[in-house]
Amino acid sequence: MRPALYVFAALALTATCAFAQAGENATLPLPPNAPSPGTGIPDFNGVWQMPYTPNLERAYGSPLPLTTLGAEKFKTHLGGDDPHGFCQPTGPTRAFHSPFPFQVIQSGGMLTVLFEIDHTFRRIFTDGRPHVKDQDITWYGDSIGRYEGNSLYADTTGISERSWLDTAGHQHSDQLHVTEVFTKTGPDTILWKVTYDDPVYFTKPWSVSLEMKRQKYDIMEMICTDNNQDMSHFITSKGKAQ
Amino acid sequence: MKRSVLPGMLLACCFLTAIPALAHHSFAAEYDQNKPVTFKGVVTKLDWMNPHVYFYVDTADKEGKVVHWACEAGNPNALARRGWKKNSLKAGDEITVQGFQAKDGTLTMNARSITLADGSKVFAASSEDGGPLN
Repeated sequence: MRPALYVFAALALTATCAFAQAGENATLPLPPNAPSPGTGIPDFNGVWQMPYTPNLERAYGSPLPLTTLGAEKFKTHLGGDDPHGFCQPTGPTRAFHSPFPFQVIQSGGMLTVLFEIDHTFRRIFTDGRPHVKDQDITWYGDSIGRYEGNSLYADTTGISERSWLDTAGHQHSDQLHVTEVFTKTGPDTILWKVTYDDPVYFTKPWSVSLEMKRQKYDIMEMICTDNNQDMSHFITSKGKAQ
Repeated sequence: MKRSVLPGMLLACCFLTAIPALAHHSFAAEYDQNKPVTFKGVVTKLDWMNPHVYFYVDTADKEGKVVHWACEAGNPNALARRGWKKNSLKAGDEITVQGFQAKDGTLTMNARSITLADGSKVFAASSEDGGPLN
């Protein structure tokens, strides 16, 4: 073996050890290689959009059941603190009720959502796997789901507290547990019911329902960092952003 | 060219079409609804880019000195779905622009109404961003 190959082998071994020390997220099996969904489950494929809902309290219809901490965080936040203003990710659910459409693709054992906003995606595994053990905390969390009748029931945990639930500034901790029910209510409509359960920020689980409507146009590219000139003008609770 | 400041209520009467202008942050994150501005000027450049269309306008301040405003409009994808194109507004266009200045006092504004010399409006916006209501 030539010296260069020894170096390469040593680097490869180092990289392998690094992965071995990481959580299960670093060694996840490949996505399911199962047959297509076939009949018997609702067809969610298509491009959809929900009504833009910058303030979930409006959809909830009454004040959110905030804990003392949750109320304090909401009271003291400034709009300039919004992580998405700095093009940080939306988290798993805010992208749904943003003013941008998204594409749903169902494949064997998995439902994929391609969000126009931020040109990002989310996957809900429907192959029966449990949540990841020793879960890393990530922006979009870990989503698993199951079909039942005309609905998909999804369960998401491990969501970073860095995302906000909406533009109005409702926040959460990394103990947030999101459950969603997607119900096909017609050929061109899906009812989305989301429940937020976070004992740090909310005194009880609370839910809102919004309707997805099928769109006649494809999703487009939306790269938030392309020309985000707003950043230097934001007034944050730590002063003017740089 | 003359710059004037109008009351917010007068501006509110001029908004026609509702497009969420500030999809990725709230109005209050950056702009001051108590600082309405209106001026005539000439477009020098347009950035048809995400997350917001920006266009730049030369106008004259009270002393007649030319100043350069950066004006934020809606999201290009949302505007495109409403039929607007990247050449709907272009360098050299004389416009009247109404909106609200940034809280940091720079010559940056959220444009809520843009009127061309022939009276037609482009990129009409906006609502649902926590800004002054239409």
